[in-house]
Amino acid sequence: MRGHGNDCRVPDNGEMEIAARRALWSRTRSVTLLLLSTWMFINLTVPWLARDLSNLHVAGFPLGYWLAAEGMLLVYLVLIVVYVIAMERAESLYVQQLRVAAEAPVEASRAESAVHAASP
Amino acid sequence: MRSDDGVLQRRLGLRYGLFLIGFGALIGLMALAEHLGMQRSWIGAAFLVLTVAAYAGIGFLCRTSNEVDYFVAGRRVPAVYNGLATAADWMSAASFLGTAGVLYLQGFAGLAYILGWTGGFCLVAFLLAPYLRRFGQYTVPDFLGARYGGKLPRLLGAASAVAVSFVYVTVQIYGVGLITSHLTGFGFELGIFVGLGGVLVCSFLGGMRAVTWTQVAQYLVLIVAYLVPLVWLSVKQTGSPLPLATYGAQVQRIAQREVELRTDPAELEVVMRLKERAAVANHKLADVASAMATDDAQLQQRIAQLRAENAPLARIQRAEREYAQRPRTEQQAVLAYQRERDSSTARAQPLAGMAPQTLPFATGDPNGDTAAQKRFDSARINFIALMLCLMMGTAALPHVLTRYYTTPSPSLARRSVAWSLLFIILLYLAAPALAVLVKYEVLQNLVGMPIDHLPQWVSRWSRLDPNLVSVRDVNSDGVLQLGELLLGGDVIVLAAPEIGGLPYWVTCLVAAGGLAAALSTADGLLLTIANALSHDVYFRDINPRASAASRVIASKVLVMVIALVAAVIAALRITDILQFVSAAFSMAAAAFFPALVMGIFWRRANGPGAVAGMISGLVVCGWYMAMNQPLLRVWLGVTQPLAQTQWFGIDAVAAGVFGVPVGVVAMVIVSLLTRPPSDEQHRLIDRMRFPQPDEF
Repeated sequence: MRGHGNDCRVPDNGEMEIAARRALWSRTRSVTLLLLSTWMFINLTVPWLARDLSNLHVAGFPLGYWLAAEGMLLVYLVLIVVYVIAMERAESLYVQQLRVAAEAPVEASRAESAVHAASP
Repeated sequence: MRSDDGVLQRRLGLRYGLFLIGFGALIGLMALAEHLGMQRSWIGAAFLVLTVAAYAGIGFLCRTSNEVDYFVAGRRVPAVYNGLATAADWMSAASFLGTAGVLYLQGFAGLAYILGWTGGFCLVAFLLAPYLRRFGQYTVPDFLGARYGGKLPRLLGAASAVAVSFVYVTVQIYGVGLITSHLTGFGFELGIFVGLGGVLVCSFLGGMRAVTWTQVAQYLVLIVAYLVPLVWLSVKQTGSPLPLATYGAQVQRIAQREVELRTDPAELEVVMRLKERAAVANHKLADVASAMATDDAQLQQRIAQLRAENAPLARIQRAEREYAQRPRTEQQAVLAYQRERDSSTARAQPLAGMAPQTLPFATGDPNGDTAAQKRFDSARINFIALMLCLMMGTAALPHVLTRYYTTPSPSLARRSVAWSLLFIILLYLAAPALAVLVKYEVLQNLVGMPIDHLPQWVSRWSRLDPNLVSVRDVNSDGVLQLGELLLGGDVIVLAAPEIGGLPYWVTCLVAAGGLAAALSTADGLLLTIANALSHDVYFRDINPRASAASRVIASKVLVMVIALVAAVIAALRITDILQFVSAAFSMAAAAFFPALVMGIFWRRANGPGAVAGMISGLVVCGWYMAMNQPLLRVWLGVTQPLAQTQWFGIDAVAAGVFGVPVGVVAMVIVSLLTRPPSDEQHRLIDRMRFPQPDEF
């Protein structure tokens, strides 16, 4: 984090890669944690409340039964689809950052030479 | 690269389209043949032989000796097709034939299986599939070996993979035998070996590559076979071709009928008579020899009486059959009386001991007395425990996880989990619907029929196996009550077309679907076992210089040997083994789940930690089962009452809910007390977590 401070040092290729990795992994962890806790939440609450929910009806089904026989299965599918989309986004962003980082040394040296050119 | 994929996808689409058209033509042809009066056993045999021949043909066309093709299908399987193959791999004979039966008998409680076997794929997607694919070797023990180093984690993994898969494969082959013998009239043993031929051609000749492409075809067969009778029954009963959205109407009708039957005087009488019978059987057990003699005389007397009365032939034949099947030795008689006592006791309850179809945790009542409240809480906690245990087991079964090694990239592995779940829930959404429609048919149409005019399937099935279907006029009123009908769970799906009055070819179609489910799972399992032994044990430990070709050959030989051993064990018909299938999930969860997931998500996890976690998980899980599983308790002579040996009142099936947390804790403690993982292992973790620049 020092790199962005007052000393005007431009982050080099390795540091950018590390930053990109850190960002991807924290993104991965938060996506995973969020979806896993949603998953766990419905797994625990729906069966726990199934008897009470059965007093409500949807399309002829007692709600507690319907959720366990159809609703939760569809939620599982939705969770996985959300995960796929979120992770594909995060990873393609990461790969882009890697490509930028691969070109970075050139830019960094250019920036440096610009500084040198300006100084005299 | 992209256009290649497009061409491949189009070609695959065309091929499987043709396969579906051919399968449709076969169905049409068989329907026509039945209409023209072809013999039933011929229709059954045609379905069996032609579908197995098609699988064998695909296996033959995909034969290979190339290492990457053999172990991971060349890593060229598109996400959708891997989803189809995983769905077939995953759904076993038990899922196909048994799930609807469990739901028919246990109602809401059976939904724990449905939820466990689908929700587990969330864990596969979030925690395992993409990472394992990025690691990119051939097997699950491979991963343990590379991540944790040393021999022990890999060998423990290989041993667990073999043990879990072997129990599972034996049951599949048992299912194959049951279906083929039922479909064709072959003997059970011959049935096993015919089915086995189909399995072997695939896994032997072409390994994962052949198995993948056959599994895709098998999924198509099994889903058509499941949905045709369901949709047909739904159209017949409600006029709706979309049963999943509309079977709520039937749910309500069943609930109403259940209330009627609970107070029906004839049903109540049956319950009373059954209680008497149980008492009589218990009495007979006190003096078996004289009870046998009395029974003998009584039966003969009844036959004579029926003859004298000029009773209907069917009734005389039934009595004669009962006489012919009487126990001959004292040992047989003891078993028969015990069975009589137990089954009568079990059925001497309202609705023949079946739970109301949709009421959750019906054994108890949250507003009842303390005992009822306790039963309610226990049912509820056991439901959740079993569900979680099956989920973690799903995410740890090696034959499913290896399927995600076969996609072209990690990102496609992730997509392919979504496809897998889509194809899997198609069947698991259908199972409760099928159970409800069959139950409606039984409660509404069958119950109340004169016993002499029952539909033909009742006598056909009870001749085949009286433990699956039998009818006894307990209160001698000549009318069928629900309490007088025994309908085993295993028969619900196979007999659904006949119960609903559909033509015979639909029954054959369902049987062909069950066969596809059993064969596809058996294929995947056999390969997993063979690869664990040839790749993880033989190559890594015994002969590390083995060439790729000789590893493939070793695996092929092992497939053959294991298939034969499993077939021999299945042919012994040790039905006790069926009780251990759900146990396999607990064991898989305890052995693999903590080590796999923490290996990816916790850098500090190391070899000693993994070994401690796997062993302690397995030990706790195995110990809990030994103390609480009824059969194991008998074998091991455990005499402590269940109330003392159970923790939180949880059944032995869900032992994994204790094994996994114990494994996690052991892993954390031991990892922290020993040296951190090596640099090489850190690099492996990085490789799994982060995509390569060329991945997108």
